[in-house]
Amino acid sequence: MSSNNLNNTEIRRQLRAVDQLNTSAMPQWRSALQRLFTDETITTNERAAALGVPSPNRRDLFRLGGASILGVALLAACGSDEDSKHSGTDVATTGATTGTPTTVAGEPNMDIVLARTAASLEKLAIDAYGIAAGLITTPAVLAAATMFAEHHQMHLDALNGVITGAGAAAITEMNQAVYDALVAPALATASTEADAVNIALSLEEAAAQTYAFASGTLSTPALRSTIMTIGGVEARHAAVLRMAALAQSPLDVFPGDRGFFPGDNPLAGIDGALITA
Amino acid sequence: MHITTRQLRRLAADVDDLHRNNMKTFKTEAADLHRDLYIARRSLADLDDQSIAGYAQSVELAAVAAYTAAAPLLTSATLPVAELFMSHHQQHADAFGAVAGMHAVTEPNAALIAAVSPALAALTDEIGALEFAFVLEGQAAYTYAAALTLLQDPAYAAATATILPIEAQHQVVLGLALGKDVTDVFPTGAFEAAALGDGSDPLKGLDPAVFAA
Repeated sequence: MSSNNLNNTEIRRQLRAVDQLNTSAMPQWRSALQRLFTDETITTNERAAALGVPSPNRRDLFRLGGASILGVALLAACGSDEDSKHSGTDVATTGATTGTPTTVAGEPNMDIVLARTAASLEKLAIDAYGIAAGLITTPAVLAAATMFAEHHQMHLDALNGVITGAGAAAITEMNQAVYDALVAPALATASTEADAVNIALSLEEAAAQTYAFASGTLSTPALRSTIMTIGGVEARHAAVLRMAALAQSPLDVFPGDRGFFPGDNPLAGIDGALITA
Repeated sequence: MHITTRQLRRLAADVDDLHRNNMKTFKTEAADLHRDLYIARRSLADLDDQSIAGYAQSVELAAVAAYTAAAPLLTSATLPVAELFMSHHQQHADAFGAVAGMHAVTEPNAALIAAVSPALAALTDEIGALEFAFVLEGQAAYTYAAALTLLQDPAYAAATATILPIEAQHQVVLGLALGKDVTDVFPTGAFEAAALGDGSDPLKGLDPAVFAA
């Protein structure tokens, strides 16, 4: 049978069927793409989200399906505009937003001071968990403490990203003033697992409170959100320590039945706690 | 090059299969694309601080309504905790309402209530009720992390920052009460999520573009 011996009718029928599928879907697709790439109010991140591809600022998973494959190519052709206007729907779940801290006119750069102070508290927490681990005998509590120390390391890394991004030096040492005022005296008399957990609890609650305070002081929404993506997790740490490690009641997680986390500065009475240099 | 009719038919059939397989999801994906674009166009960025506060108030009132609906399924061991959480949400609603100005509301978020009503109606036991609340509390925390990216007035941000950790702690308490592993009470790991979604994703906050009146 030669190539000239074709059933043209059947081929045409099959091709028409394929074409009909394409024809029915394409207007919607074309319309959407036209809006996506001609509307200047839509950022690259939004385009990425709509196309199901990771945006330049997101750690995201590829959606499966034809649209995501096409989306990669379209987005690559589009480039990045780094628009921060709609950051509320695009902030990465890692929380490692790197907004550029600014200086309030007439004041020291409080953004950097607060970020460096927060980083020094994270380093203190890492070191404190390391010391406290020697007193923790319950495997489940030790596992939680280890995980929390890892969280604090990630927080430290994220904060140092903000700090170095603003041209300041990264924090590598713990907050010595807070250690001297709060941790060292407690460690000196600590002899049990409960003692160790209570030290950790104090640090976690102080850190969460520091971040709630900082969120009213930092100059940009991006920084305020970043600090609270960390502060919320510190509060979670505290709740776990109370319930799982100290066997407290769920109601004890909220002293005085409080419905609001304290937002005043817990470091106010500790000289040298703010890292200004 | 010679090709037989049978070979051509097979090739055409292969091409047709590829097209048909791709087209199975194409309509859905195009619809999703339209929906996502619609949401993106009506983003949080269009809202001012008072609007965001009003939206947050409506979400808190919806949480109160959800706990009220689930309460009959709870035992005496968990009911006091749920009642405390419900009182917290009422306090949060009052706090947001006080600064929402003309955007203050008196009713729970209708769209959110409509979205969660089927799940609430399907609850039959305490475990289910606690699981439902576990997800809702996480979404509330993430909603506030996202709101913080947009609130311009530091006073609004500071107030929101005193509420976010409470919602996060609610979720931890509920998770541990459910017997979840410690790892599971940190659903988004070492950082709270600040992403928004349509409510179907437990790891994203509640997007006002979807739920705002």
